[in-house]
Amino acid sequence: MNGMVSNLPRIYRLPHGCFDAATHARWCALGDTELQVPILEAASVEAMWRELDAAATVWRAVPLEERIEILARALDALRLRGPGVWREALSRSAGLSAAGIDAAWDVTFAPHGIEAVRTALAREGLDAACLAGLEDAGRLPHRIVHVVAGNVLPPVLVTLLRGWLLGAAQWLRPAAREPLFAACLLAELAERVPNVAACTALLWWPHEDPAAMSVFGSADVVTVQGDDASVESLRAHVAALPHPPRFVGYGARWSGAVVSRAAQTPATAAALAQDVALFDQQGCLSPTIVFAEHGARLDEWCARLAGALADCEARMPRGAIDPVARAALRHWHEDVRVELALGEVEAIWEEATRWGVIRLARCGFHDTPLDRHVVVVPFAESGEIADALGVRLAKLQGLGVALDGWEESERLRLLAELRPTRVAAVGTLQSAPLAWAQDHHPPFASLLAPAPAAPAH
Amino acid sequence: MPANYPDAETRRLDAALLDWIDTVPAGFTSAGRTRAECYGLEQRAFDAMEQRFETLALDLFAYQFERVEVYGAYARALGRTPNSVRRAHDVPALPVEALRRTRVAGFPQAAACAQFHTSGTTGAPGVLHLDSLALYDLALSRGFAHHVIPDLDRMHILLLAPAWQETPHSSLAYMLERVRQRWGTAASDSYVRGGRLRWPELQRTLAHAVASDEPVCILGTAFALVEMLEACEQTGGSVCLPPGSRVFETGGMKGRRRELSRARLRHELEQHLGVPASHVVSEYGMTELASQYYTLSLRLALLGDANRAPAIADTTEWWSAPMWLHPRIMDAETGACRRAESPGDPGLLTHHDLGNRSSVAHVLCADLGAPRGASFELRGRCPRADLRGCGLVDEHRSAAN
Repeated sequence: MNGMVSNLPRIYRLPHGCFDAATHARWCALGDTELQVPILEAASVEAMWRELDAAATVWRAVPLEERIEILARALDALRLRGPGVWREALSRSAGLSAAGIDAAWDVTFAPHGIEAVRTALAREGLDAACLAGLEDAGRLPHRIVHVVAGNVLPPVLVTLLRGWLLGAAQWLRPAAREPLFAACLLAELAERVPNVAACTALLWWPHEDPAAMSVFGSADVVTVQGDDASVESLRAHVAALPHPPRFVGYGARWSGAVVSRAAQTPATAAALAQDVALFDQQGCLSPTIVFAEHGARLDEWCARLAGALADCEARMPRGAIDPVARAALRHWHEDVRVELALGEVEAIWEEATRWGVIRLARCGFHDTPLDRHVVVVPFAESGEIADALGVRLAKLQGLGVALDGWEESERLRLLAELRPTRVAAVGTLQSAPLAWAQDHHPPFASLLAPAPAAPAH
Repeated sequence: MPANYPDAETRRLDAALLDWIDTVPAGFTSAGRTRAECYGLEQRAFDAMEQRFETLALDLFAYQFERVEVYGAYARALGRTPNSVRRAHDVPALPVEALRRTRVAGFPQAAACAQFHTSGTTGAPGVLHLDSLALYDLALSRGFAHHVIPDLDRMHILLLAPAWQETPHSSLAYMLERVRQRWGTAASDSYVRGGRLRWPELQRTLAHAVASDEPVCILGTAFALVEMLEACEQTGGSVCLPPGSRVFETGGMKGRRRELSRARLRHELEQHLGVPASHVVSEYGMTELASQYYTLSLRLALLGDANRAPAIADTTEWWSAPMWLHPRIMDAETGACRRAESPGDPGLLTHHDLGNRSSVAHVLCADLGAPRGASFELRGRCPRADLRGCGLVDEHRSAAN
């Protein structure tokens, strides 16, 4: 890694003693003991914004349809090529195995073909004429700042892609947890589509760094992904700025699956295991709880799911995790064994702490430690699912479904009750298209300035 | 469960455990390189005691396997039974979570003589059920005497914890009351009433101790000690207590007051009370156990260390265990337990406490430990799993501070 970091385009850090300890540790783990990311003085932030503005103005002049094609082609080329030289470093940065990075790379880029991008814009009524109108009305964001969480790769690409399609200048603050993917993406785009890379910059700062507010302060929109408390904390900081930008927060969410009795097949078990194994279950679209319709063959299906997770482990091993995280997994396994002794858990399938499947004795809720651990909850009536989840329902993100044998009306009733932001066949949950309204935020409209209120009569 | 309780087997086991616990070392006497050195024992004597631990531990496992229903089921789920377990460290460690979820006791309810509740802030508390306090009291008093009052018969004890009468289900309040009864002078008293520190009275007592040159022993939870230190600061009540005075702290902060590291607490105690850091004894225990760990600095400061070159120079974060309490670290991948001092990754701590005859002797807790010298050091708590959904971390949160 030595030397690679300093050669990347427009990647900076703010002063004040450089990275926080976690980011520093990450970079050191990547083999770069001498951090070579140039410092951007706070006083230079506005000048950097102006450079990005100039590049964004040029990029915005490219017709929308052409922008879509340029971006989709570049992303498709990247998908086909795979992580390439970045594979090993990304694997360490993301905490995934090398095979895990290959799969993560593919699922990050795959959903953004030309048609999918067109569809995403069209769903919000955004065509060239509309964008021109928004521009004239001053509603298009020209400057966007993103703060990402680093638990999975896609949000880095998706947040930037939205901004590129709208023609904005963008800063992105990568996460300490996974600092490399954004840099890698920008470096690749600098070679393939330099005019896109030119309106984008990466910047690290410790979160308490007051200089970071100089970046937020002149943005039109700030998007923040993180745990709920972090998002709210940054929202408050941003709101206190003299000219507060719009704020779009994405908090902690979880995903699940619902599998009907008729759908409890080897194929759905394998597909679900794939959803679970991707990103080592760290994403908000990673299913953790599976509601499975009760039937005589439920345990057989659970065993197949366990077998499928074992297969995933063999061909796409879970990434290395630290001793404390492993201890937490062990603790969960042993607590579950107590529940087995008490009759609350019906069965456990496990391979050390590499993965685990537990089947509850009755419909209810059970926590999950992630890292490829799944709770299968039996239900007799679909109405039991919402009852079992209670207040947790408000944080539901995605729902993988395999509802063979159900009436469409029953399916619709369930979805209306659970209100996930994304519904997909099991095995495809993680391949979210650009049109996906994460946390119920419309992907593009949430970035636009609100329309002026109609004058009162 | 036998019809006539306590039955002969229970009485036999109790007698064997009481007899053994009463005679083996109640803690380290040295910061040595090996456990034998730490206990100040010749290797042969140490090995014999360890062998007796093994025998009693297996005996106790067979007893609890049969009588504690959830434990028997848990052990069977692990495929470990008295027939298959041959070594003490293979005795299954029951997660303490079990004590929150169900009654974990090897005796009929009618035979209960005490219940101690954990101070968990969410959900039902964990409960330690006891049918006899004989082992509990023996383990408690031997450990305390060894580490906190190895040099005196009685002391003026100042309790910074609610009185036992106010919190009858608190194992800490019970312990402190026992200590006050056994080692306290007539003037010993509690300075917390209704959960509030009685600072003016405590201040007068401290001033009197200084004037009369009588050393005192202050026993309290970490957060009560912090409250006292704050009161000292706010009222100009800092004093320099007579030599031989000491402080016993336990219980952590539990989010009740400003958090102080153990090192910082020691520093402030020295600053405001004149008690040197070596004379501050920390206790690590939990309601689910009958026995406790202590730091060794006070004992070494008072009685010296038999080793000329201690293996552990700083004993303030290093835990001394009585011979009947074996700390272990559970391997995350295999679930197997190893001695806490054995080299390896930090991991979940288990405690094999032969003083716990009434419930389960070997328990798994959520604390993390790492080997240090011939013992272990604490590495915080295991992060609790909940419905986090995405694996987010709170890296931005410091912005709020």
